[in-house]
Amino acid sequence: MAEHSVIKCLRNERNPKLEWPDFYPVNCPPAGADPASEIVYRLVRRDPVQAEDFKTPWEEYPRRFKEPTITNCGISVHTDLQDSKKLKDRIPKFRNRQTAEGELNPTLGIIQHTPSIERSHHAWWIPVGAEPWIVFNVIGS
Amino acid sequence: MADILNIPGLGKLEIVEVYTYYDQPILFSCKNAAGHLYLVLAADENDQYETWFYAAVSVERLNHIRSGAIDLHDAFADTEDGFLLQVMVPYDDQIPIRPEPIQSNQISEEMLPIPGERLNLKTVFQTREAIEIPQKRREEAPKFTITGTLTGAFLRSKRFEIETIEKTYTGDIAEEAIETVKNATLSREYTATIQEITQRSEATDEITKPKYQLLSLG
Repeated sequence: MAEHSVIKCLRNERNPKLEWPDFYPVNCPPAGADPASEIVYRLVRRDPVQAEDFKTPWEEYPRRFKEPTITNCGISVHTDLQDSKKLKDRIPKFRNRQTAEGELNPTLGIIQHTPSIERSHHAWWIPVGAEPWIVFNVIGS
Repeated sequence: MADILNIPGLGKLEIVEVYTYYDQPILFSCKNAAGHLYLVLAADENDQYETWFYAAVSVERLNHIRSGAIDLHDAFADTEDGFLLQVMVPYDDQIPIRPEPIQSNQISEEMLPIPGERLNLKTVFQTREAIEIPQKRREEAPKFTITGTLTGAFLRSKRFEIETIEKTYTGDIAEEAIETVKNATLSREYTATIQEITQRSEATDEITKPKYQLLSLG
């Protein structure tokens, strides 16, 4: 959209200490996302949790998207365990996945609250070199 | 993995509304070029493929599913025409997508939402008659929520642009949303309530390309 009165200029506030994957688009992770520092829940296929459980949608479903975007470079987590349980009730694809709990810290990336019907849904962008599977443990099926 | 919005027999699909998102939209409504609506569910996964259900829905039924009057189990187990399309989407790109019509009452419970799970969304009911009456007037569709990146916000012309995974939404900013947009940050992801606005051409009486109105940004 070419027009003069752009209300704000973009300011990329990502942590300069973190290095992001080459395929991330410009300005990803988005400004306004926060350093990760909470306990989150991720639905995983493996126990113990492995690197493959943290693939971005862009990596996991390469032909499903035209290009990498802020959204498909982030992975989904919940901060409320009940939301993970509810999602398994609603969406049969996830019924056989296991729930893993992990306590994030700022070295593991940037997180942003992106609620849908599950109100505690967050998008999480993981930097190069991070090993999030180390802090995750399966807590139940 | 193949494109779940390009299914043989249904054509190119466009997402109308995402209800549940987890790494990708996993429960959503969409429509094809002919305007036929489908409710889509991620039903199963294994080492080789994902299974998706595409249930044809009328506007009235989709309203009832949105509002929670029809639960998600029955939305797929008891479809209007008794059938739905089961689509196997292999992870291997060399293997083609396999769509197969199946009777909705024959679906295994393991591939259905738990009975009683509902969307419970605020729903503006709209009848088929209201949509189909050919009038030269602005027609308002139900409001829906999108999550995407604010890529344009122009206060003088009251125009916005939000990019989601599926598409880019552009259109007018409603008066009640102006103040919020003033304080918004470009390139940041927001959840927005928008409404599809269609107009009929004065010349041909056909519906013109849909536009959107931004109602709120949060």
